[in-house]
Amino acid sequence: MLDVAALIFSYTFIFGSLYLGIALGFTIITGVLRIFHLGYGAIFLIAAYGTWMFWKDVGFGFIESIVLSFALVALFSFLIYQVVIKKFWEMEDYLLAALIAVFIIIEELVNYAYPEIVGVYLPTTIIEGSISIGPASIPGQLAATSVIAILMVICYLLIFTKTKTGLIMRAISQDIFASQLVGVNFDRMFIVAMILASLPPAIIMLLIAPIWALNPFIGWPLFTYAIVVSVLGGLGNLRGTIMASYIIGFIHAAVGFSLDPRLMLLASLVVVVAVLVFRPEGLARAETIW
Amino acid sequence: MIIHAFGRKYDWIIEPRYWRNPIIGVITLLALPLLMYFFATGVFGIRPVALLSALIFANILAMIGTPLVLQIIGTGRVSFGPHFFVAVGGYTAALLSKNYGFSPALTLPASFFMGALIGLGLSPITIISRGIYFVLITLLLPFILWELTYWRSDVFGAETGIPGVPLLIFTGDVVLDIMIYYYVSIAMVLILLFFTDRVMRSRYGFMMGVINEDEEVALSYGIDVAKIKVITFTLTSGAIAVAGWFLAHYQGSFTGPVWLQPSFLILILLTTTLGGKGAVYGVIASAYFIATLREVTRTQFGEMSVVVLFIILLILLYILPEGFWGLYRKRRYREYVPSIRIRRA
Repeated sequence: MLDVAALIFSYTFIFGSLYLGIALGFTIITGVLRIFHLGYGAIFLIAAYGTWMFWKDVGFGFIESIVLSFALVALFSFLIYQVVIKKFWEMEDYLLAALIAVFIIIEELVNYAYPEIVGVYLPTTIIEGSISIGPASIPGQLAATSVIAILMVICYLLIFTKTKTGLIMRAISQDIFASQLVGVNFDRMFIVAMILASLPPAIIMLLIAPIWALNPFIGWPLFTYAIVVSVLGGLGNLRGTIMASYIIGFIHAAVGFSLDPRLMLLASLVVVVAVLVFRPEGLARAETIW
Repeated sequence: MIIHAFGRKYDWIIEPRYWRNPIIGVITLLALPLLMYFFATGVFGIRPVALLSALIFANILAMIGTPLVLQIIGTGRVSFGPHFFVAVGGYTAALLSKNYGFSPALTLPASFFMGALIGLGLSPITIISRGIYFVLITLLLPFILWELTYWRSDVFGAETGIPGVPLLIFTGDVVLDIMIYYYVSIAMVLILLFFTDRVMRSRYGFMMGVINEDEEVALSYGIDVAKIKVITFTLTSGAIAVAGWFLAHYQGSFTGPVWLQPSFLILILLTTTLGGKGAVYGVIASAYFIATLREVTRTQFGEMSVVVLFIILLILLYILPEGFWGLYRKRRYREYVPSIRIRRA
């Protein structure tokens, strides 16, 4: 019983931090731009397969490939904003359909270039082996990913609370029209927000790549985690996202270790839908990003 | 035309001057498979079975898209989970026929009622959840069913599905079978279209339009918004589930994860969006366009077919802001165009 409790406690932290890292960018986009970025899952694919492409196919060094893949992710976010979001800003049904279409195009392109049999593997391991916390044994790479996810959240919080850019983004997230009145160039800030939001999923993807079997369709399950966490957190509120990440982490750990691991996602989906029905605004009202 | 029956008077305005276009449309749809079979196969070199299957797929998209348009207008919400109800209908038909020996004639009402029942259970979300939250709940429903099919793979069969569902038609001749399937599916589409058209032109349809435009205004007019939303969501969910029934008895099996995929969702959404804002007839045109394009890209581009298909559809979103129906509407102006908004308060 104590062993299970220790496992649940440890993995609540691990899963929670991981989901926080996955959902961080999505929350920023939803909080600042007030749109639902259904193409978010493509970022995971571009980060992982972009690194592989630059490393193995183009012939760059591994570190340079990572840097270039981040540049590719930023370029993708910029283009998504300029070509899709800006165009369909007022036609929301078109916007959502176009964003999913872009995601599927990227997914199929990756599947065409690097199908699962290619065996894409990225050696981004920071900690080899396992770490023992009491009776619980945690893969070192997962623990490292969790710590880095928390550090990323702290960095972003500092950006939002201590910099002028962060202040402007919070202003936009509170009231876009009022921020326009005081002279905010929201077009430029949206691009900055899109690029800033694309970095956390790219970093998390590279960190989990050695322990999570990479395949061209990995974007959807990761995107599902981002949706579940952001929705429960209140869509675009970082405080809510932090709380929701650890709640979902706890649900996954508790269900996985005490009931059936296959029920983990199902349990969290049911909880989220129930919360949405009874408390549609989620845990924290999305009136501002922070 | 005035009919006196059961002590009541029923009047129906018959205006033959408006019949030309529907008659042309119905004749075209009925003649299409025969034309394809006799002429197009020789020109394009595509097997008749593949081409006819593409037309049946178009009818399946239209079967889902038509009630979905009605649902969007009547609830004032955009659902991202129509494929959830397709899977509900498909699983109901497959499980009842496999485990209890139900015939397709019995599984049809069962699928409709199961879809409607689940729709009724979920219908409060059309009142409680607004804007993007409704989109999210409906987007998550297929994921829940997906997970459920893997968790209870002994019941739902996960990715192998439920085989052994009795076929709706089996004559032994593949081409004849598929031709009959086409006519069955087009009959279903035309029935749905007729009902949708009648509803949209009725007083009830007018109230649905007001709800779609502004719920506050609808309430101030004395429209029972909640009642209309619940009825619309329930019945249209049942109608969408019928498409799942057809799929199960057409393929002889039902594999939920195939139809619960986001790529199928996007085809449904593009059918409704490219059809035109809340345009029911446009849905038929876009369903046929998308299904044909899907077949052409599949034969011409092989593994890259999905990429090419979605790039073309994306370009169409850019160049057709009012969808296919907008092209027609430019010549035949229609006063009311439903506005589809997601971020509404």
